[in-house]
Amino acid sequence: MAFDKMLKFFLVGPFPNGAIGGLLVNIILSFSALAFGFAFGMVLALGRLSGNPVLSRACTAVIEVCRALPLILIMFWFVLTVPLIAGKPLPALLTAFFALALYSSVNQAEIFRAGISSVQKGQWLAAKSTGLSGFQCMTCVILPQMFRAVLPSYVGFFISLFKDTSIVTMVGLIDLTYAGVMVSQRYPGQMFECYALMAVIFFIICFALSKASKRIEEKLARKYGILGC
Amino acid sequence: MNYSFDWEKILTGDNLDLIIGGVGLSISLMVVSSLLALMLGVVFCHMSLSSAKPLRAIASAYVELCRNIPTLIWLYFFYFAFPALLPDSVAAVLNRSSQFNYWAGVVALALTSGGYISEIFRGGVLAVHKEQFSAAYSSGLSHFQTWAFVIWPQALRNCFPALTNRIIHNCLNTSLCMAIGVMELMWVAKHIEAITFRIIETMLVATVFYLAVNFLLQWAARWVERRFLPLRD
Repeated sequence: MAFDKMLKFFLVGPFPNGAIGGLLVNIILSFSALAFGFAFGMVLALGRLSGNPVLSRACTAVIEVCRALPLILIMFWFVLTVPLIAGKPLPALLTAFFALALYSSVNQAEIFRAGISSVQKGQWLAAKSTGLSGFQCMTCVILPQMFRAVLPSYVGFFISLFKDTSIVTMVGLIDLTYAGVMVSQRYPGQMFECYALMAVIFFIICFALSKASKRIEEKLARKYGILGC
Repeated sequence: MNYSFDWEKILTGDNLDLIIGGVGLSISLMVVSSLLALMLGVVFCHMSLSSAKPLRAIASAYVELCRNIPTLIWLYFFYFAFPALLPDSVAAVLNRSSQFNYWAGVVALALTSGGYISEIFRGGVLAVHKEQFSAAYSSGLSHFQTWAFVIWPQALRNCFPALTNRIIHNCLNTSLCMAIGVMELMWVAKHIEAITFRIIETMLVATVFYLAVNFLLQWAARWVERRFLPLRD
């Protein structure tokens, strides 16, 4: 198989002749799961830290159970039970998105919870004593500091989420990993080129992201001091 | 949604044997790959802290490879592509052996987790005060004795939560080995589901197993921390 055809297949899958695939699927899934996980993870984290015992226990239960399961099991749960509930099979990309979104939410909830706990208690007291309501305290004082504090581990989580989107090979979506395995099995003479190209594409993206994260961390440390707040 | 539960179908006879075999294989994968990952982590941690530049370069290349390439790709690589790298006779033996996908899975998991664990250990060792080294050397302890009795206990105490987190993540990742055909619990659950169409029962069996594993490992981590790594004033 010609190199440029292989590269095109790895990057966008069988696109003009079929559904999108390849690296594009990984990117779409990881960004959308990150965005959904940001919103829902914030909800879960604030729910877990709230004073209401019912809400707190429910959020804790969701977070602890979903973090204890491998992503592949969560993926299978969604892929197998969503058609059962909806009555008809949904597109594989959508069910994969649901599974990754749940996984991303619970992990981001834990990151946010650690971040909120790391903001100094004095900030709460000072904000409350200036008359801000609880919600205003959270959104105007605590969360901005929390985001600066958790940025390194947040980008680390995004890198790990991007790598974890390769699991959608198990449910039949043609992402970069599946594209590589398919081509390497169809053209066994070019097995090493396939694996090398797959690995290089992942390596470039994840390495660039981790270098960017280090640079952001340094810039924040210079601007705001080591604690980030 | 009309779904009738039918627990007998999956918990009796052949299916039960498959499930028990799957549980055993999962546990064996977890134990072997975690131990191997710990050993690799120690080795590469020492390499990354050594004074020889080539060793440091090799260790950092290993860590970057393991952290930037997904575990699934490593699994496929070790199962499909790796035998082609070896001489033909060795490759023929490997491809004929029935245990090959198990060992490919173990090696891939140990390699990826070893990368993370070596970074965790490195962070723990770097957090130990430099004076500990000099104090130990000046008390007459040899290089090995310093590391074994002075530095590593403190390093482990520093990095223990991150280490247990990583080991638990490794144990949950053994479910990925179903991609190369290892008949561990995830594969068995999918297989039984494909035959009997009992979706919720089979997935619940797998869920309960992984929840139990997670719970046990966290309890074991807390026990080890209390028993072996107490803070001394």
